[in-house]
Amino acid sequence: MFLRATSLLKPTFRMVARPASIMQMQTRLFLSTEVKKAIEEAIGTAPVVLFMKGTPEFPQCGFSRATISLLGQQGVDPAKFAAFNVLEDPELRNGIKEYTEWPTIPQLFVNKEFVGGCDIITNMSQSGELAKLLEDADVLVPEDGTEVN
Amino acid sequence: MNSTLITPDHLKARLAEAMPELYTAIVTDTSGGCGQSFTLVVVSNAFVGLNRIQRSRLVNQALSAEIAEIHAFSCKCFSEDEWAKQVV
Repeated sequence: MFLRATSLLKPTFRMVARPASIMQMQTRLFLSTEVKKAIEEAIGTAPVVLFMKGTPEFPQCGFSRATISLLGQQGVDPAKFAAFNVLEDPELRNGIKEYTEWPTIPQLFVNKEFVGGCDIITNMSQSGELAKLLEDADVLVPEDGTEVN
Repeated sequence: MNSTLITPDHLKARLAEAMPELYTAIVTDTSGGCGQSFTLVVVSNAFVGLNRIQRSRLVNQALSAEIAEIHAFSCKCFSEDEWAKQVV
């Protein structure tokens, strides 16, 4: 099955919240340098990185489960994959949404680039774009695992 | 404390206000009326030329306040041409 990365080390600081303009009525958290750095490290731990709810073995959300399932179907090499469970770490859960300015989990990164969430990945899978993206990134398990002459 | 129930009509009204060139929006409450989980189809020519992430970001911006309140959110974004080609 997939590699399971350890959860984010907790940085020791407090996040500062400041309300945005009255029109927006939305609280904006500003990523601290430590959390941002920790997230950037997480994104760099493997060519394919998924921030999800739960684990690949036990997803805790339908969208996360669907995404894991799609990546499995595409044949992503477990040695090139890392998953982070945002439910284990509230700072990660909030931080990753601030970092990508994307409001939902799961979030997929390929070679440190944000690809999208479940909808986008499902759509790309249907169109063939996901297969191409993963092939080009060289993250798939070689077919048959044996050399073909 | 925000205890207003978010409804499909509310989301459609927000989209009509905030989503440029909105053609139509189909909003389904998938939480059985609890206002916690929604699936959307948004059709707008504002999406033409935008990639998937850019399209989703447009919707995310239009509905940023609502999305912050709910538990799950899923959205398919089509231009008018693409929508016309969908088999319904």
